[in-house]
Amino acid sequence: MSLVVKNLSFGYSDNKVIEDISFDINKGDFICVLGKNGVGKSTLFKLLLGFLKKQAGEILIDNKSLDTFSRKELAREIAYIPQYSTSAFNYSVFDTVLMGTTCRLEPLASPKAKEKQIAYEALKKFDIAHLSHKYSDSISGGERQLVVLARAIAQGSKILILDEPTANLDYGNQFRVMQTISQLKTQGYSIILSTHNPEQAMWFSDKVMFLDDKKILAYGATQDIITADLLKQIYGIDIDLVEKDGRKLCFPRIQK
Amino acid sequence: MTKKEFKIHFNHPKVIVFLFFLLFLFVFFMSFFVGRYPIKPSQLILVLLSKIFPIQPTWSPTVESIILNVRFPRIMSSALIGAALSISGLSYQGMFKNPMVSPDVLGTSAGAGFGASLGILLGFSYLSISLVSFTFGLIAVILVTFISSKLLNQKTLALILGGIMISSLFTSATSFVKLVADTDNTLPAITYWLMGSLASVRKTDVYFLLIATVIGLIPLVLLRWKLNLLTLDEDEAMSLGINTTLLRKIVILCATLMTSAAICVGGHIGWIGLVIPHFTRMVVGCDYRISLPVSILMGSTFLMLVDTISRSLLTSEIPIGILTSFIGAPFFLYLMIREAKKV
Repeated sequence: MSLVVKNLSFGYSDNKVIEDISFDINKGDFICVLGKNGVGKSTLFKLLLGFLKKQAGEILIDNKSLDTFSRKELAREIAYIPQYSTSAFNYSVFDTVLMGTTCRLEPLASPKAKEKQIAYEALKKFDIAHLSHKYSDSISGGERQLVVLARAIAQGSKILILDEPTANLDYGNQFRVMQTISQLKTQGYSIILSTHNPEQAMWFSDKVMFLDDKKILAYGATQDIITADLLKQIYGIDIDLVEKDGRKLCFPRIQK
Repeated sequence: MTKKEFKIHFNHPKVIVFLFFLLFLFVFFMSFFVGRYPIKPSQLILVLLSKIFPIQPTWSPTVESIILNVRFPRIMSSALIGAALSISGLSYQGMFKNPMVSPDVLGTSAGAGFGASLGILLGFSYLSISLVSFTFGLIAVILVTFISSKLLNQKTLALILGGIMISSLFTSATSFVKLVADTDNTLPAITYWLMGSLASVRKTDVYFLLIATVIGLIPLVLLRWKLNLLTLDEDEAMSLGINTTLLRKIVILCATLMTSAAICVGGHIGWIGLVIPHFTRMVVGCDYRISLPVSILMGSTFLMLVDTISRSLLTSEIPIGILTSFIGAPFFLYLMIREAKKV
């Protein structure tokens, strides 16, 4: 499994949103994408998921151009976890996860025993099998994110794209969900995740990518890339990085 | 997964479907006995069986004629219209990700109604009237979809606003058709038909409805699982491997076909497309694998029942469209209040 992005560009008419971005992702990588609001993180993800059509450059999955994939084929390669999964209707947790298996079904088929087993295994993986019969409006935000993660696992795709998956969660759930996600990389999943919290990147990711003004500002191993200076440059606030028990913490200075 | 868990999750709905099927059969057969001319259960069974097996008639020709030419077309057409409108509503709601839409709200009914009255005015043949009706129903939905896509910040409201606008447009157009219609023949025909009535249905209507409903229903039944994914956010549905554009087109075509066929035969019969899907979800949940068959059974049972009431309650018949509104509107209000209380 590999994902290669070469000289990717996208923009509305002369107003470029993403310009000349190149990077690649291999099996077991955990990449955090950071940057200010509106620098093109979501656009980049939409391009990788085929929601938007690129204007220039290449996206290759296992050396095959993304344009040649049908929706169904692409779903088998890449799963998407949105900030907040919404449905106008209220589905049970089990059915929600079962929806993940759709890309493995014949065009007119409904899930059978095999798919139900896959969904159940995915629920067990995140210890939420007991929620199976609950409905999505009666579980917590953290549980709901785990359900969407389980759905992505049931999908069977090995690349997971997560668009600020913890943005709507409380402090405890933010940490729990991030920890759960980071455990997936040892199981052969490649993870691309956007976040506004540099600590999440420092604690969990192997690589970080900073986007600024349509382009990649910095990309590489997390411990090399994230420095107090870079954070200051990106976010415009004075920050110290403090180390405790081998982990770095962000310590913004309060202006007097 | 243990056997028991499996049972609770997957067998339970089948029991519900079966119970609704029994209720459907009960109402279907009971409806034959209601009416001015009394019919005995034995007569009904024998007459129906005589269509399949060669049985020497022991009943009068009047009985046979009433069963086969009067009550059978009515009962069948009310069942088919009920099913068609309910399924249309259920599919529109999922596709538009909005539980508040229905063939009425989206303007499909008004569009199809205008098409049909235009067809009647121009003295078209049966088939041409239905085609014109289908075309205008489709135009109405497409216009509403287009309008709502321009009002992105008001997703839920946009469809309803667009629907109100387009409905009013087509209703006015229908009024205009009535204005220019011949007051002796065409005008009464259009007016009475618009009220929603099954008083004059014939066997041909039943065949037409049956064919249109089956054509509209088959793709939806085959795609029932994918309809669930269509209720998700657009991006999510696509990321799960759904060709949302194609699926949405199929749903619009099928639902509009069924709605316009129902309207061509029965006129404007409101509220079913909104109330039955809501009630279905309340009883069996959202999953289309179950809600689809249940809403077919519920919709047809409900309309058979209402039609039987409409032809037997008073000495002169009450148009069915009036009754469905009298029953549907307060019931929908009740459902809404119930849902509001839960939050």
